[in-house]
Amino acid sequence: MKIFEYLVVGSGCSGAMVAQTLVEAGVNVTMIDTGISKDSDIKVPDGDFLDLRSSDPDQYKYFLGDKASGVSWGDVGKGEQITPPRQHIVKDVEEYIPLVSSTFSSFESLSYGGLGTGWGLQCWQYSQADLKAAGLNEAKMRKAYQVVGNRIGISATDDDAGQYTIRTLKDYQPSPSMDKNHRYISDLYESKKQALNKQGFYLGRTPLALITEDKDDRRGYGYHDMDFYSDNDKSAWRPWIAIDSLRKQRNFEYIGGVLMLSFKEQGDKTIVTCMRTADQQLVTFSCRKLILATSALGSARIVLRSLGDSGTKLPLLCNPYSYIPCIQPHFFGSGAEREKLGFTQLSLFYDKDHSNIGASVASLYSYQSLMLFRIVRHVPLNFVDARILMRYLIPTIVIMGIHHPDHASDDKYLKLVDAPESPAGSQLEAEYVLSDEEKREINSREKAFMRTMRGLGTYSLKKLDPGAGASIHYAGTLPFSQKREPFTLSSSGLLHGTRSVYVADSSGFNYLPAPGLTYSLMANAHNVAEGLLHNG
Amino acid sequence: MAVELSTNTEARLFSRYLIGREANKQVLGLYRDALQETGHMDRLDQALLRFALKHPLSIGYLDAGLIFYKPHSELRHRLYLMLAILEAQAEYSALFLPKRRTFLYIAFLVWCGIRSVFKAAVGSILVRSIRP
Repeated sequence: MKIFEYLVVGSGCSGAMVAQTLVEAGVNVTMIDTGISKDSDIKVPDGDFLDLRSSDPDQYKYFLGDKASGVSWGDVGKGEQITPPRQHIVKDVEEYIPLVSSTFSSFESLSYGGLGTGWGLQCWQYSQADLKAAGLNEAKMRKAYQVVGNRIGISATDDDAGQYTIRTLKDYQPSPSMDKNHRYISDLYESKKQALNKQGFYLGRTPLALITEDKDDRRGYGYHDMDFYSDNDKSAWRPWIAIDSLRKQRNFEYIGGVLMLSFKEQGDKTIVTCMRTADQQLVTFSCRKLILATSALGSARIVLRSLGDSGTKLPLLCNPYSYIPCIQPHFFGSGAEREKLGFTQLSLFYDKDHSNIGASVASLYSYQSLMLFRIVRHVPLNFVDARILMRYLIPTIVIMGIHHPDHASDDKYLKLVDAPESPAGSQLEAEYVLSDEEKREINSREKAFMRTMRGLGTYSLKKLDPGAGASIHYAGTLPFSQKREPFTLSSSGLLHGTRSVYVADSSGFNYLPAPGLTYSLMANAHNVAEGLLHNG
Repeated sequence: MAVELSTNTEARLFSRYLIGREANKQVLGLYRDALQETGHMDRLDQALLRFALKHPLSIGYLDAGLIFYKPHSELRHRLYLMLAILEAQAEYSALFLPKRRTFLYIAFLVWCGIRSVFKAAVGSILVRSIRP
């Protein structure tokens, strides 16, 4: 049997980064991945949202999907923004990697490029205190943030929130232009910022993995407002862009269509057992170094299957999240806007005690390209009058998505249980319950956010709680530890108790700061690869 | 064939109710496809749908009345599907895109508000009177 030198599992953000670092160093890398690709029947034309709406007879294919599969009904749930061209992100997840829970709703992916295919692109750096609490080495992380930033291309602004967003980042492109809703908030903030800063609020442009100037074969952002449907110009960085590029290298091999189940160390090699998804047959691979980049839940699942027993409980971190639709009366009936942006444009940080640790963050989005039908079902009117009203109201809508930090506790955990009905034979069971104190703190912070936004001309309508797990920010399942305990990682990502199994995703984070973790998990993945190259 | 005809009739009625226009051929086909994915209807849902199709003028009142009585009813689900399908049609897109206000818009919105409340009040009585 062929023995692979470096076997990377997973093609998401961390898998792409770990593989790129290794490939650039000249070693032979093989990536195994389930790699479900997008539905080739859904072609999204290269054009502006408003132009396509009035001219494309096939627009229903990407706006609604086959048999209107992209039209949700019922209460608000996770992944509301997953549009038909991106529904492959969640395909087959319930069958192959099930997770059951009455308190936690997970969001995982088996797609080519993983969850990064629908990532919101926020690239916030963690503060010194946040990095320390998470168990990450600050000097190495700052260096890695820059390396990753240069690879993916970041647009940013060094503004009032720079101490919470870009921090030490250099060599970034200018932020995209703001639309009218965000300009309005930003202008009002400028006139009130001294008072707001005293209360711990800082507003600034969100650093995004979105290029505004051409870079290699990627085009600068074209303001087509089709960000929820296509990546035609590749201005938004996605893991598949990196993997596609790596596949052209001689020292990189991609093997799709396999789901990793478990590993076993045998002498100086590691045997990896996988299931071929085409025929559900088991296949094995042999490697010298195994690098898991399958997300905090995926890596926990594989490690528990390989080393655990039914009694083993692993910690689970997840940013509590809620979103609040708001209106800006100033823009009532102001019509459609061209050159809009589907991504978040501003971030509002609430650092109550000015400590730069444990801050909460609200990402602000305007609303247009997700269409009227998605929002009209939440309006308590008959559909005829709701449609008429919403045509005037949509230009006023700003969505505030608030993330809070998370700490481990005995009431937040995962375990593996048998699942005979799943081809994998087992499933994760999760429990995630916030303490009363955590709930009180979250509630108080959200009220403060709503109050502040009122002062910025943006009025909250209703808080929507999509439930635990909806932030899609998971971490801490195999925490960093210097004690070499089972189910923990060394600072270099080595799984304690193994000789050559590394974890390069967010599983190691001991604490989960509120700002989105993707940029940090990519930086950590780069560091795991660097460690392997220098010490492995 | 009979099922197709009745689905087409339903689609035409819903389109006329929602935007005051006849559904085009593509909309009829898309609506038929979308209905294949809808779930099981309970007896009340069936009765409401039958009533709405038999008395098209009642659709607006039932739609409004069901918001509070049974917001996830099958009738409202089907109306919602039709609304989404119409929105994703180039022919009707102008009826869904953000609109600029005119000097009469406040009077128009007040009228819509009064009409909504009236429909909801009549609708809630009507919904309660329909038995499975």
